[in-house]
This record gives sequence, C-alpha cells and structure tokens, in this order.
Amino acid sequence: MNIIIFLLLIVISIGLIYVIHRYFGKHELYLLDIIYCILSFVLSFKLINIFGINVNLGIIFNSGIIMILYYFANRFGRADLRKLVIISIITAFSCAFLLLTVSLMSGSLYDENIILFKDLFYDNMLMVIMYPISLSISLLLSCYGFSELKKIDKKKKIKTMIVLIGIVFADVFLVTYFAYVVKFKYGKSLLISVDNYFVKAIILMFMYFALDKIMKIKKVKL
Amino acid sequence: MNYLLLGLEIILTFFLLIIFYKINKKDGLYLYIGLISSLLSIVAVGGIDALLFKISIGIPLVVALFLCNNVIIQRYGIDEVKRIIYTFGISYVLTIVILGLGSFVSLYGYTFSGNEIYDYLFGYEFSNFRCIIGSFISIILMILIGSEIYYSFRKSRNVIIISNVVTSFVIFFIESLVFVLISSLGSFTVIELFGMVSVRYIIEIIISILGIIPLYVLVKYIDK
Repeated sequence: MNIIIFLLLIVISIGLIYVIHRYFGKHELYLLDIIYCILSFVLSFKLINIFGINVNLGIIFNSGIIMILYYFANRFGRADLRKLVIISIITAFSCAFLLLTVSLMSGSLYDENIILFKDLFYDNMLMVIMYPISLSISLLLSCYGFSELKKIDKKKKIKTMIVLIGIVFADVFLVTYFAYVVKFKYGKSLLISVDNYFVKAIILMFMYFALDKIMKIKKVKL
Repeated sequence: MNYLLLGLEIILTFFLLIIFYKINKKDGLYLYIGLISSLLSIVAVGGIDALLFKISIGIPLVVALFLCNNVIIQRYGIDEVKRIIYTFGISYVLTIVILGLGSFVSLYGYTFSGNEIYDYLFGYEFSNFRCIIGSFISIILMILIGSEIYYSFRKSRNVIIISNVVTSFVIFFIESLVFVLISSLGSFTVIELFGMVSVRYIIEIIISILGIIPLYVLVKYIDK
C-alpha cells in the first residue's frame, strides 16, 4: 500500500504540472505552487517506510515546488521567477505561523482536534520553524542555480542534475536532520536524512526528465 | 488566550490580503483565495469554546474569503464569481484529498507519534469529514449569494461600508446555519445548535466589520 500511495503522489505532483502546462497559464501555476507549499509542509509530518527506507512524505511536493521553479526559469522572465519565490516563502511562513497559532489554542470541551493540532505542530515546533527556513534557502539556491544554467549551452542536462542534487543536499539535511534529531537519536536521525536525500534526489531526477518532455508538448488554449 | 490567538489569526489574514494584492494585483487576490482555502481545509476541523459554545477556528479564514470576494466584486464586477468559486473549490478539494491520501500510508520500525496524529486529523474520520463538507458547502453558498447581494448594493449605492455590512449581516446567518447544521446536527441538542449558530454569527460579524479597514485600504488607496 505504501509504495502505491507514494507513486500515486509522485504522479499527481508531476501530472498537475502537465495539466496546467497543457491547458492553463502562468497564474494557475502560481496557485499550484501555493497548494504544493502547504501540502509539502503538512505532509512533512508523516514518515513512511518504503522497501526498508524511511521517507518523509513532504519531499514529493517539495520536489514539485522546485520543478515549478525550473519551469518558470525556463519559460518566463526574472521578474516572474522572483515573484514565485516571494509567494512561496510568504506561503510557507504564513502556514507555519497559522498552524502554530492554532496549536496554542485551548480546545473545546466537545472537540479533541485542537489537542491533536497541539501534538502535531506544537510538539514538533522545530520542524514547523525549520520547514519555511529550509524551503526559503532551497528556493533561493534553485533560483540562482537555474538562472545561471540559462546562460550555459554545453552539457546542460548534466549540469542541471548536479545543481538539483546540490539543492537537495542543502534542503534535506537542514530540515530533516534537525527536525528529527529531537524525536530520534543522532544516529537514527542521520540515517533518516541520508534515506531522504537519496529518495528525494531520485524523485527530482525523474521529475526533471518528465518536465523536460512536458515542456516540449504544445499548449492547448481552452 | 484563545481570543488573543484568534486576533493574531485575523491580523495575519488581513495582512496577507494586502500583501498578495500588492504582489500580483487582481491575480494576487485569486492566489490569496487559493492560500486561504487550502489553509481552511486543514484547520476547519478544529473547535474552541467561545461564549460557552463551540466555534470553528477557521472563522477568520471564512471571513477573509468573504472580504476578498467583496474586493473582487467591488473592483472587477459580478462576472468574476465563477473564477472565485473554481479557485476556492480546486484549492480546498485538492488539499484535503491529497492530505487524506497521506493517511493511508504507515511506518514500520520506528515509533513516530506524528504519524498517528496525522492519521487522526486527516484520515477521513466521520465527524471531521462532516466539518470539511459543511465548510465547503457553506462557503460556496456564501460566495454565490454574497456576490449577488453585494453587487446589487454596489449598483444602487456605491458605499463600501454599507455594502459590506449589510451583505455580512445576511450572508453570515446563512453560512453559520448551513455549517452548523451539516457539521453538528444530531451530535448536539437544539439549544446547543442554536447557541453555536448565534456565537459563530456574532464573531463573523465582528471580524467582517474589522475587515472593512483592509477592504477600504485595498479599494481606495493602494492604486493611488
């Protein structure tokens, strides 16, 4: 079941970018970026096991955000790219702020969901704080990397892959290691971070090749 | 403490409304609707006690959607309603469906409390599902009916404060009634249901009156 859901989420993540590329425009891609930011934030509280590897579910939609950024870098101007980064950062920080605020409230006598919010977000406060910071760093790095890659003509694919692997390193070790180090011991936390690094790198490579193919498909005006 | 935190939530939503408009003008308002809808689908299930009755913690976000809807209708006309509903519906449904899918997977080998809590919150539990459906239907109704009422006031007398206040008096009664009936009918007594509708209605009215400030800033000042 785990592997089916995991693959389904990857297909949804790249499939929605395809649908928007084919039938919609820039505005809808901004909207998708906002939804992916929130999804990746909340899903990052879920840790799953695939073939013995422990994976943070948030990495799928986090990869989706980087792919949207890659799409913007190749299709639109610098101003749009900058706007996308600003919107993503605002979304991540406001989501973290709202969920922390909500988790600090005292729940109703008839309702136990607030206690669950507290257990999920307040008890994992380090993760709530680290997520927007790591997303901001990885987006700024990606923005710079993709802008520089536009100027290069030779061996572009290999260089893009190296940039993506570098971005994943900064992102995964910042958020995953420090977030889990409170919950697990140092060794286990490092092991989970390494697992996440490899899985996220593979997902990003898959999404990169898929997006490369998607970008060659002609748009359809509805 | 709860009221203070609710106040912080209100300030955040109003602040975001102005920021998104500054970043991307009209499209920014739609992005704001997408952001608020996604967040609402997460927090709609939480409830706190206010004036002795249970209210949802998503109320400031519901009012933010109402205000943003009014700004769009005020500036760009009634034809935008269809796009507002699409933006709200897609963001809300997509978020809750994908988060729900996440609850079907599990972890072996480690004990991570986050997983179990996540599954309780987003795993299509019946009472939570009622809250989510109730919130969705009540907001669709709020946008559809509210836009018509707001636009008719705007046409006859273009005074933002009057249009906003009168629309909110009518529309929040319908919204509160629909939400409470769908989410809580059968789980509470009639008196409790009446109290929940009344308290939700009063709080929504207060927040929407406070919301006239960002609404006025957006409509009157920002472009000048």
